[in-house]
Amino acid sequence: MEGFVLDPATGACELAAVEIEPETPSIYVPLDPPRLLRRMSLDLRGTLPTVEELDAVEADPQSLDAQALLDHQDFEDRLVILLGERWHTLVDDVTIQAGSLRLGFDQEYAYERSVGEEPLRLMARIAVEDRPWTEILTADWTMGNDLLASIWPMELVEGDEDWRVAHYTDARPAVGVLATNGLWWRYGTNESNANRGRAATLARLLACVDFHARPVSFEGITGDLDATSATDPACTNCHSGLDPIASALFGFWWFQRYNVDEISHYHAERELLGEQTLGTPPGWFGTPVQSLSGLAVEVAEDPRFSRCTAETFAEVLWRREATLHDLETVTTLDERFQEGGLQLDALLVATTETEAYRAGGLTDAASDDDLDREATRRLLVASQLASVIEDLTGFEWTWEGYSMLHNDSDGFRILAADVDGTYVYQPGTEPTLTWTLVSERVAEAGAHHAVTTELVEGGSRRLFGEITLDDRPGDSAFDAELSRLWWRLYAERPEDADIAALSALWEAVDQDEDAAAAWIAVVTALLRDPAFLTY
Amino acid sequence: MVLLLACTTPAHLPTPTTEGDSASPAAESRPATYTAAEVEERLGVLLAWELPTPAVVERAYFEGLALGDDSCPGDAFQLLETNVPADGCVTQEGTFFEGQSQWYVETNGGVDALSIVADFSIQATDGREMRFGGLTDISVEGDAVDASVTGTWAWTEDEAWLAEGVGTAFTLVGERSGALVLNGGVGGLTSDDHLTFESLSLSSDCPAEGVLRVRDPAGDWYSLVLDCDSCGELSWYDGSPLGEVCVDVDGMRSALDPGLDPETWGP
Repeated sequence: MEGFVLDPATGACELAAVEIEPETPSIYVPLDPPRLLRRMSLDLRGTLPTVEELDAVEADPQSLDAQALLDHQDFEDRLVILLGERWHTLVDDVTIQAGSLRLGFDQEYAYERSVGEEPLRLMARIAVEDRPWTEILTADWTMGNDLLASIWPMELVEGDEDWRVAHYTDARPAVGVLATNGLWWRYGTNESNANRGRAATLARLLACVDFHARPVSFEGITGDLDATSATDPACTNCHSGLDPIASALFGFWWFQRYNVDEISHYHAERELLGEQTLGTPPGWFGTPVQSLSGLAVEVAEDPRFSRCTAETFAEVLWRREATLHDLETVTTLDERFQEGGLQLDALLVATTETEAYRAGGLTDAASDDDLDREATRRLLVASQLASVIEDLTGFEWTWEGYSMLHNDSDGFRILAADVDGTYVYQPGTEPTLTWTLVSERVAEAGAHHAVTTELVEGGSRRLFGEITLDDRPGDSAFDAELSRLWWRLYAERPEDADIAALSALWEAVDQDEDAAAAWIAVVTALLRDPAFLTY
Repeated sequence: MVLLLACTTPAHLPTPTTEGDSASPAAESRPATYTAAEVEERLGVLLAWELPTPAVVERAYFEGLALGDDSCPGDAFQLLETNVPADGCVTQEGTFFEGQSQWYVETNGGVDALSIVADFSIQATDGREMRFGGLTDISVEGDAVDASVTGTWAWTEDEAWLAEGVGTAFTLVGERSGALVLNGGVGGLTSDDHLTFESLSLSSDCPAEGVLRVRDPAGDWYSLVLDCDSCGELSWYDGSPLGEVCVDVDGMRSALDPGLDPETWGP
């Protein structure tokens, strides 16, 4: 075939005949449709697919529809968690303690959680309403709840939902997530840093530009560091890009970092301090801007914004970093994202269609690098354990109002391989002792809750089908229930030996205790199995 | 393949390490909300408000502390850890005090100084409320003045900026008998009222010199350049001229002077 070839002599590109390299065999072994549905449901809803959904996909694999999962009511909450893995705002420690706001201990967790969720809720709402993703930078609203509206200069739009559209009342600019207290309370600054850390965060999150990865040498640097940062090439490598962004952020500059009024309000009178403090006017990578609003527009129009979004969500769903190997794929995802009007749905659907996402294993053609890079089996981390177990059994693990799987002050979030945003920035990928222990305890508690409420107390059924405590191994209803549970929990059809093993376990416990205890043991065993805890 | 790659559009490059890699044109200018006449009217209102100088903050400060008693905070000048516990205290009248403050004044005829460091709130049962979070200080040596006010200040009984709560970040430097230069800004906590000063010099010889800015509700700034005159050309953030605007700089200057006299400091 013909293609453009660089002529080294002239530096020109010329049309010439080129050799076609043979296609590289795929290294991926795809998941079968039911297990793919299971993965997609866990990633996009935080819950397992229903038996009916699994049956439908098994009968007709073409019916597997990522968009349907994105349209589900659980997607928004799940997206908040996924965004939290990247934006790192779901931290346990908030600048202002709950007591300083006259909030009781019983409100402490809700307060910490609300602050961290605010920017994520804004972005998630933009996604579920199919707005262009650029609106995360231009929205003139945010998301709030009653608690936030009671402590911040914020008015909620009427509605019944816990989280509702809200508006700040302090004249802050319409810059979407960049105007949220939740973002800037997480990413503070001080006099010497002068918003540079915040600037680096924005560059990383919105353009995938990592200033911290740039080489820097302090050798030979002496004297006034502020002056040096503007002139020494070793410094300007970063500061030439960093400082103008930082200069645009001074509306969020605080003189008293622990005063509620100071850090809850936007300070327009300080917007122009940036140039005075940093010696550079606001700008975005060489383009001067007049304000934070101007910065937001520049970011939204920067091609790196859409590409970074594509790369970010690819990493979120692939559960690994994107590498040079993924260059072409990410480019394609970016194109699909743009063709879809920058609606996040388009990007997420496209990402779930990638080989890397659908892989359940690797072929013999996989190299050592492939084996190191790919994540074909993922762990249910703390947030997923919480949502899956609650959906299956109704059990919520809480203590004094704290969700034990969504925080680390009193809970087990990072112990169960999840992200806390302060010390742990990525979900775990390998099973650890603590992850195993937490998973086992959640399994036991969920099993106990389901059996007690559904079978013993006769409550509405979530986990169980038609089974009763009178049914015994060997009964058709009993075996059918085990098969149904296996299918629901693992997206696999059980072998006869699997049913036999579970029946034997049931009988052994029933002999020592009773039918309820037996069912608790069986469900616990099912929920502790790697087939449930991984996907 | 290497040659081919050199001729294709780079799909994703390592992050550039130099500036100038902007990939988009500047955004279109946003329209101004106000005409020059409307801006002049707004400035007339805002500049008539008493600027929250150290003396103004101190006056309000002692009005708030006057709501205390011997048990809470037990000090007529400051809120100390020794008098106000972490969860606050309540006076016999029911006024709640919470937080800390330090007040310092020295008037010895040499370098006279006043400073207040504050992070506290006061709530009276009749609705009066004070919330201070910041630092203000002023030093006067002979004719020379050096003052700054940074932080957030709110006092419901004030009639100007403090009434709705004000954010501050400004300095006031100069000579009591000569020029005073303002740099920085003030702004309402929950309003569209925001002013900034860029080397705004006020004196009897040269009424006003420098740049005065007022913020548009949409978020951009109007700039008024004054050149030894109380009138100047108003421009929009994009540089486009909007017309002439006049401001009462004499009133501004005369309002500042009393607070610069150390004799006026103290409760």
